[in-house]
Amino acid sequence: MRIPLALLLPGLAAALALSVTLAVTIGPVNLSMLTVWNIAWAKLSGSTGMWSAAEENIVWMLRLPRVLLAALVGGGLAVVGVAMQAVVRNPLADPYVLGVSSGASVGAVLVLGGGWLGFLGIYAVSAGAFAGAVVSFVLVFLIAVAGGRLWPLRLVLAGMACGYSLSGLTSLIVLTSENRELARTAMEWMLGSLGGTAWSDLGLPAAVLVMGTGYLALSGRKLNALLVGDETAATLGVDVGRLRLRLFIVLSLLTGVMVAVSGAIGFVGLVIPHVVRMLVGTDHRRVLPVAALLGGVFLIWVDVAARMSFAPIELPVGVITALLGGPFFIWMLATQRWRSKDTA
Amino acid sequence: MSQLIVDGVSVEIEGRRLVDQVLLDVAPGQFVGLVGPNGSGKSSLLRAIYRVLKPSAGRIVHLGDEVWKVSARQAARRMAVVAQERMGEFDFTVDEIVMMGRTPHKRLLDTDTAADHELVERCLGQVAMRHCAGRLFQSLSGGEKQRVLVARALAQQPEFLVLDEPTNHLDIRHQLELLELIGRLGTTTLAALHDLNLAARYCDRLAMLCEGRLVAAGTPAEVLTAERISAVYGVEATVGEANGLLRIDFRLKQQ
Amino acid sequence: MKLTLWLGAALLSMAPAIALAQATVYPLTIQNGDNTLVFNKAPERAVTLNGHVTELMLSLGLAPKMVGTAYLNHPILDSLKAEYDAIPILSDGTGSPSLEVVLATGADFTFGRLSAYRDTAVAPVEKLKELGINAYAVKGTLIKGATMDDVYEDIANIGQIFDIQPAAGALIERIRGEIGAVEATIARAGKPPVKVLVYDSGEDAIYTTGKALETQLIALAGGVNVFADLDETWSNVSWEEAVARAPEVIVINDYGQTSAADKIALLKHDPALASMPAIQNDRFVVLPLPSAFEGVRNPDAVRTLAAGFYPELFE
Repeated sequence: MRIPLALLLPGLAAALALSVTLAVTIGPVNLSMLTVWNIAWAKLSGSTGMWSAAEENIVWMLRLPRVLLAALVGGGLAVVGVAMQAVVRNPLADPYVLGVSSGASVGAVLVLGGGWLGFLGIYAVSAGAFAGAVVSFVLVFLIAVAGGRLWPLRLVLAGMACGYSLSGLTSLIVLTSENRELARTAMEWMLGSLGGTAWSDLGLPAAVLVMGTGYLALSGRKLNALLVGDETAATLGVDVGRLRLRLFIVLSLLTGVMVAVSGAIGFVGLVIPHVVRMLVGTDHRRVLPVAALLGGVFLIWVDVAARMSFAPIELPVGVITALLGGPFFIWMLATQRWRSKDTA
Repeated sequence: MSQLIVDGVSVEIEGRRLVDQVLLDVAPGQFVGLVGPNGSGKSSLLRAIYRVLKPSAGRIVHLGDEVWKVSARQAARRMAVVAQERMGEFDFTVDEIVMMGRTPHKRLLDTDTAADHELVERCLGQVAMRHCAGRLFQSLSGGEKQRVLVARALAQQPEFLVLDEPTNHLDIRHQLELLELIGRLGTTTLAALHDLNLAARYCDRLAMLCEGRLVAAGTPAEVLTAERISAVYGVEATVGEANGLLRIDFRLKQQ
Repeated sequence: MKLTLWLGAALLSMAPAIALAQATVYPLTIQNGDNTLVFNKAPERAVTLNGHVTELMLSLGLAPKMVGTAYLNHPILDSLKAEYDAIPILSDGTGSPSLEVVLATGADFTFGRLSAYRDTAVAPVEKLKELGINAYAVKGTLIKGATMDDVYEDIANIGQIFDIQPAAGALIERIRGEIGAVEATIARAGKPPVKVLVYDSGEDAIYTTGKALETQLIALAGGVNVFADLDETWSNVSWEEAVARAPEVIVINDYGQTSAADKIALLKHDPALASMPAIQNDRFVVLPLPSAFEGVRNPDAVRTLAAGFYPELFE
């Protein structure tokens, strides 16, 4: 059954706005909804009110940027997942299929353990992760393109090969490091976390997400053709080689930025695209905007669970996505006719 | 004035010559059939024409332009293809598949217009698949899929159709209907066909390939002689006439 | 305890010879590793992020200034229990509280081990600074080869920060005195240092300490850590290497799920270790781990170790 886009898009946009406003009222510290909204409103309108500096900091400096980052990262990962599945024409692809999370981990671990990029202060880990992601993308690209064209299967295999090698490198660095905290910090980083988000962390992911999703949505027709097959796409007027190269660059940038700000949060980029296709079909012009919104809503609530389930201690959000994502996916497989004979 | 000129085209893959210096003309409005045994280079020649296999020698000129020198988009607005690519794991509905035919006509910000939807419906009607518009492509039978792909090619509103074994998987009625339809459209068509009787019946002209080389070109009666079929296919053939149509029968050669 | 401390502090503050007793002049700048902290006044709302830090602050009589404690993974000292129980507990012994919980206390100062200031624990010190919180880290967790001098430095810094130099000075003198008494006893006996292996945990390899405070505590108690030359604070070393260094005594770090008795049994039943003098002579010292952390329990650690190394001197 398909839901008309005219209902679904405004519905999801409203759900996203509602999720943001509700999620900021939830946290290990009990604050009334009214206080939270008053603080947010006062901050937006420049007025003041009767609350403590601590409450203001919690709402404005901790919760709101974090919830917004969850929405951005969730949306971004879902969009990248959709497009990546088209680029490599494989339903098992996720944003990390090209080995990017392993590359980012190497970068992050070098920073965490070796103190590289120390001059960047608290942004050093993000910068290291981004650099690692870009390096792994370039490696994958060079290996895949050595065969002439960017064939989907070559891309996946190159991604897997780089992923294994880079994971090995991460383990090597962690195990031979003098820093005995590194194994734990590295694991926590790799599981992904949205903790410690500041307003200044939001600009880059927001810009990249808007531009990336915009480009992908405008390429929706071409993505559709690509999903059918390279040859078909070519006969439909798509310059397949050039399109795949451009998509590769856009997706690298998107994934690199998302991984840098949040670590490698799994499952969102795999599950949300399939859920969205079950809702609206395969046409990318519908799938992409719906995935961006649904991914945002999904990760906001997963992050709430990460903050709350063992409060006052926080879990890495990737733990929850994995715990929820697996069974959820199984449930979807069991209840939906995966490849139904009819849409009726 | 020919619409398509294939001028001394060769295609090689990994050192093997699949198409060997083929010369071929297709005049406007003609339905030209490409015949020959398996592995004779029919598909490779078509793939060179629709820009998937780059020729190692020769030129392919369509409507005055070398096809390998125009943009993919421009080429796709002139030429539509029904090939034999297996679709992957992802499924589209039938009308979405046909709508893809509009891709080369769309710019970045263009949306699907009412006219596009009408065209999609009309094209589905032409292949008698309008009742299946909302169904998933993968849920169709082989013949139904083939007809939908033809509808997609029609939605490209091309000046030239390239068909690679379009009657594969079709039952007899649908084979006849499809070829009848293509003849009726009047669009210039080049189609690889393996059924010689059907080729003789529907094509204006035939070109026969054997081991990558063009061995004959002309009207069906000129091309399909018993001696040539015997030499190219390695079977004994008798060519007769029934109801004003060529009729070819085959049997294995006696040792 | 608190009363005597304050009494001692009051007495000491009257003695003009004690330089520490000068009142703090704000703004005060304190260097803590790479982190420079600036205090415009004494903190009013302090949060401690580890058990031994909590005990240290309480011992300095700072309970009235404390608005939260966290991550106490051992029972609190009896003498501090009443005050401890009156302060909100932000997280139990299993982890660090989230930043939000710390912020909600209205904290203006935090004190904890470096690990509490990880991105995934509370927050990095820079982030806390942005939020108006001066975050102080235990010096021994910032460096390799920590000694009691680093503990004294922390105490003196806290004294300055809270303008309680007399109490800080008194606490330092008390700890120095208690450890000094043990040292003197051993020095009188004039024996060569005992070779000591620290067994923290591990089965495939020994998790032991090199350049951390425990190595100096062992030295103060008249021993020498056979792995004092390790370039790391804590690390795995092979069994083979441990046997080769022929320790005379094994110190068992006692904490967590595996009891000291189980650890000793494991070591005794390993045939590969049978040649080790410590195993042959059944010489084990059980050290409660909290006393090896920078703080008021360090004299207990030195006493326990010394009594284990030289039972005849400490009966």
